[in-house]
Formats: sequence, structure tokens, C-alpha cells
Amino acid sequence: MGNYSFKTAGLPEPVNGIVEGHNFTQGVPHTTIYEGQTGLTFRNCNLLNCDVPADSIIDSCLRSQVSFCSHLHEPWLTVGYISACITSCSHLTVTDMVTIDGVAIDTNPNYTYEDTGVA
Amino acid sequence: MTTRYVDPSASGDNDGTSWINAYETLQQGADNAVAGDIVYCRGTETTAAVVDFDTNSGTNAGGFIKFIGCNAAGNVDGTRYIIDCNSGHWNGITHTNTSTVWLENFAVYRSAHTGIANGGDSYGWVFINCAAYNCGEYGWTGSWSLSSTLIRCLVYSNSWGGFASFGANTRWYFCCARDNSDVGFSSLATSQTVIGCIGHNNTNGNFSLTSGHCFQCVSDGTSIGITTIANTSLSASFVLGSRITNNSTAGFNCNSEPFVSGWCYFEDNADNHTNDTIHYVINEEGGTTASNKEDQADTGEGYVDKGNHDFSTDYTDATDPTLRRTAITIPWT
Repeated sequence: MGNYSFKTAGLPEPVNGIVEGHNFTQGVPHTTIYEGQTGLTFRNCNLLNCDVPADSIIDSCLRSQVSFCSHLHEPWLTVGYISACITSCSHLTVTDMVTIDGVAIDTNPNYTYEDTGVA
Repeated sequence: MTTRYVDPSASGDNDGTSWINAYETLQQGADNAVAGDIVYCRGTETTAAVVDFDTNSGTNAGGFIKFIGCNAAGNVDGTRYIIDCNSGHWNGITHTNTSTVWLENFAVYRSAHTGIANGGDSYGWVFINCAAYNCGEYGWTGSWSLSSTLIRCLVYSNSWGGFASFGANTRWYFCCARDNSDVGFSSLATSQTVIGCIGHNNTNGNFSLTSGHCFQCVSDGTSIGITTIANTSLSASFVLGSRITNNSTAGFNCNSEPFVSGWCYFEDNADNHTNDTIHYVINEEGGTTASNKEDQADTGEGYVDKGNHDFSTDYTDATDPTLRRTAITIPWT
């Protein structure tokens, strides 16, 4: 059991080809881990945003790919886990107009924390 | 009071009246149970959609609605009823506008978002021996829900935080958050309390308190052990009798005013206190950084097993209170 979030190096050595019970969450979708290794089994791991070797067996792991919004994950942006989004990024849900006396003076974009629609 | 049953493998009438005729889904139990009912649940349910407790509540007069996980034989021994979200849907369990419901021995894993989402306008929920792991966001959240109580619950390996509560009066007792990708315990409203809890190896801190109260907890192996968040309330953050070890940036990051700490033990933190503002310190011990307040007189109190990082105190000085010599049992699984 260990936390290897946002890391692609220094990952735990498989035991008899099995990697079990670790958190490998990555900030960017389709980040490759265990590149070049073969014959691995991932069991009960968090593989969010991970791509594992193609011949791997995946057993009871989270496999979602998610795009995190840097507007709402600023600490992760600061330390480089994710990249900066543009203002009108894919997480933008609606842009409110800020008005005074009926006159638009600014806009206020609203974002969703993450986009789970990543293929 | 009616006793009901949930078993995804049940092959009878599925009307919830016995193990043979058990409901096949937790959702059926949630939709049918009323105040005072007990719903026993066994097995693993692979869900295609969130289990939504949005219909019935317990009441003060009628009692909780209790959902209790059982082993394969139908006995209550701590075995959890498992919700496997199979990477397919948003939250695992959620509830909105319902109250006085009791979940005991439940686990949720592989939800795309939060494992157990304690939804808006809920209050008085109780969680005992519940777990959430390998979820795509938080393990457990209390979004604007009030007075949630969590006892011996566990969140680990979630892609964002472990526990996070925006609702007042959340209480965590003997819970554990470990190996999550952000903060272990996020206390984001006033009057929240963590007692006897353990935060370990979460990526971006173990405890974050907004006028929160932290008593006899362990914060080990993260960046900042305990952060207190500046707020406009006059309610102080307290950290008392806790063990704060092996944190790579600091043991405390004290951004709140006021902040009270005392009888804590520090060891192997890069720094023990940072960003002290108005900060009231009762005797503390451990650590070596000369500029910090831990260099006050060693009181001989606090956790003192300096060589042991598995949180068992193993302290044998009989002059110390028994409670401090008692090993902490960690709900790792």
C-alpha cells in the first residue's frame, strides 16, 4: 500500500509480477507508468489517468481518465501536477455577465473541477 | 420497526423480507426502509448508477434507519457490504435532504468521483466502519450537510482528498485517511472535530482545519502535517495531544487566528511550526529547530516513542497517563 500520486519514476517493484494496492493517480490523462515492462498485473490500484503496458492484467482498479481544471486545482498547477488551462477551457460551464445598472462591466467564468469525458 | 435484507445474490422474491428474499440492490433498501428499520446487507454490488438516499429519513421519535453490512453468513462481524462502481459512474453513494440514517460496515470503491457523497441539506448521518478507496475524487464528502458523525472510517488511495466536509459539526472519531492524492482530512466549516484520527502519507497534507479541533491525532509522512486556515470566525483552531512526525515541509502551518496547540509531540519534521500568527502554545516537545516554540521545557508528556514510526507508542514509563501508553490501532484495511 502506498501513495505514488503524480510520480512516474521510483514506483514500487512488482512482486511476482503483481502491483497491488497503490495509488498511482496522475494529473494529466494517459500518463504512462511502468513503461517498457511486460507481464504485469495491477490489482486494487488507483490508475486514474494512467496508461499501463498493453499486456497488463487489470483487476479491480479505477481506470478513469480525467482532465482536471487548473482554475480550480490551483495548488496542483503550482507544483506542476497539471498544466494551465486557457480561460475558455473545456471545463468552462457558463460565463456570467457582471452588470451594474444594466451595463456589463465584466465577465465571470464558472468551471467544473474536472472533465470525465476524456477518451 | 421492520428488519429488511439486501443481497445481490438473492434469488427469491426480492421483497427484502429475508435473506432468501432479499432486495438485490442497496437502492431498493434505501427506497423502502423507514424510521426505525434495520436493513442488513451482505455481498458485493456492482452498480451502474449512484445509490441515492433521497427518499426516507429517520426521526427522533422513530429512530435511525440503520443499514448494516454483514458477512456471508449474515452475521455482523465488521465485514463490509461493498459497492463496486467499476470506474463507470460519478458518486458511489449520495444522499440529499435526508437525515438520521446510519451506515455501518460499508465500502465504496472505483467511483469516478466521490465514494460517499454526503449531500446537501442532510443532517445527522452516522457512518461506522465505512471505507472509500480508489475513487476519482474524494473518498467521503459532506457538502453542506450538518452534524455528520464518522467512527472508525477509512479513506485511502483516492485521487483527490480523503475526507472533506463543508458542513458544520462534522465529527471524526478514530478515522484514518492515508495515501490520498491531496489532503487527508479537510475541515472546511466551523466546529468540526477530529479525535484519535490518523493522517498518513497524503500528498498535500494530512489535516486542514478551519476553526477545527484536533485531539490526540497522528499526522505522519506528508508535506504539512496540520494546516490551520485563516478565517473570520472567533472560534479558535485547537490541536492538542497529537503526534506530528515525518512531514517534509512543516508539522504545523499556522495561518489562523487564533490557534492553540499543546501537549503535542514532534519528530523529524523539516520544521515544526511555520507561519505563526496569533498562536497560543502549551508545552510541547520534540524537534530540534531552535526558532520554534517546541523548545520550551520538555514536559515528559505527549507521544514519546521516538524510534517507532508505526504509531504504536510502546511507552513504558508508568508515571505517564495510561492513555498515552496505549497503542493506537490503525484501521489500515
